[in-house]
Amino acid sequence: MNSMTTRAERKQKIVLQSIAFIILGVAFIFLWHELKNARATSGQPASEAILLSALSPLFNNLYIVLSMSLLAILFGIAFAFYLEEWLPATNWIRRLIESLIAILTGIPSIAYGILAILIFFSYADTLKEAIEAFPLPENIGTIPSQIETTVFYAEVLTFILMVMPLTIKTTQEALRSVATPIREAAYVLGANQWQVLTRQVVPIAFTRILAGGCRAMSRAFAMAALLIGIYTWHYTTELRGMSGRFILFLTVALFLSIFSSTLIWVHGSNSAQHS
Amino acid sequence: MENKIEISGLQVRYGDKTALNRISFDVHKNEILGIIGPAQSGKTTFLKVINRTLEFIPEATVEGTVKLDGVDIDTIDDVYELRRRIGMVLPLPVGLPLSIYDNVAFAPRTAGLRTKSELDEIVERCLQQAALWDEVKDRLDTLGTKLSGGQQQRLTIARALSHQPEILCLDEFSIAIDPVTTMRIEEVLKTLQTEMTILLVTNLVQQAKRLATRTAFFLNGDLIEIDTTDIIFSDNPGSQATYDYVNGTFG
Repeated sequence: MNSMTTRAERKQKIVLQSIAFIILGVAFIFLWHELKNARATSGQPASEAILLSALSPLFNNLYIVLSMSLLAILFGIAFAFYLEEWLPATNWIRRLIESLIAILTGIPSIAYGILAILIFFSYADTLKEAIEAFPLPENIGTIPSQIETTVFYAEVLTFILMVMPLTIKTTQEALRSVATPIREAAYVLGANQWQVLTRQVVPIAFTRILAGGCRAMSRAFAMAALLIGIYTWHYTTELRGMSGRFILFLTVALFLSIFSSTLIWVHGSNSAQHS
Repeated sequence: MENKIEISGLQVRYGDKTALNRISFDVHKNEILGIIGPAQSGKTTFLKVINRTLEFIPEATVEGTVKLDGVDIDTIDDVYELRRRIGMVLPLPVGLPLSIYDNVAFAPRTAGLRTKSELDEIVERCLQQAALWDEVKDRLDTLGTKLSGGQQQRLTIARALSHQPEILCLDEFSIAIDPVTTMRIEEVLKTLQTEMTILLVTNLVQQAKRLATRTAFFLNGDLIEIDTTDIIFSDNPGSQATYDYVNGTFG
């Protein structure tokens, strides 16, 4: 049923992808221009200047950021339920959000990280002003200076933007994988929407939702590891300092990814048995 | 004769395509109404209108009124309550991925019944009525989806009976069931007639002849005729098309 795509849908997909490419292209040109200007004023390679200021505080609160991404995943799952089960497929808000998600999930995680950090830190001052209106709660972690608060917000935003679309997409796919006849059979017996969801759809789709969450989290860890890797490579002469955490994060990412594939595999062989 | 369902000017469209074309008739209380007709004649659509599952198809539009016990079904706020009054057996058996026991107990549970002894009683009664009890009584906790096709179909019949519906809609219930078991279920249907109204959609015209009090003949979304089964299956029904279809010389 999923593989059946009409000509119009394929056309729509091509148009959306071209828009995504154009947006990315414009963003790259824009950034390149910005970097050239920065080089002229500071006198040293711009990318280094920005990365130097950006990346060193980045790692102080990486654990908080990762736990925030976990929250983002939970929120993404809830949001996917809302999109898939409560909004009709023809609703324009749903279609808009789904096309945005399609664009966001297509970007590889490392490009995401670097791009987002460059964008957020190019506008650190503007961001700072905006953020001062919403001060961070005191007890959330040790964030001494104002610039680090900005960094913290930038990181959180980046990770959420990376993790949430993927979660929403995989959760939606998991919900769609529950065959319509099963829903209909439950509705015919007088179950309401909530009962159909909690007693039929979620038990069936749970493994796939979990697998999707793990995949998103793995993506976040992989990006964190890659950032650390780049940092270590660029700014330390010896590879010892950061590499412990780099290896840890990469291992966690790999483990989560394998775990998610295993879940899907187990789920697949289970449902093959059922039918 | 008391009317259970009154249909007047019912028209259903899927986009531009008309599935039911302004049909009007009544279903009497405690009768078995056989509905026959070739594919694409709107039989299943008609059943979907009654329990309002047609609402799941976004492009479907409905005109006209369907009254259940004199109440327009469109004005019923609690659609789940409406569906609990109607038992529906769909043509393809869909075992919910639950145990056999939970499959049958699903509807009573969604209606709020929790007492174990009452549930046990309902499960046993319904499985017996669906002629499945003897085959599964020792393994009620195995998955319903592991049963064979015919057994799953009988499981859906048991499920449809589990919430004690006022109307039982059977859509091609016997396509996956062997003739002997079909006969057993048909006997049960005859006894159930005293408790509920039965709508029997079937491709087996002989089945309608055996069971139905009255029979309706649908063709391309039109109601060609509805009359007592004796007249429909006699040598001169109201329409030549009915005669041809019933005797297998259609087209």
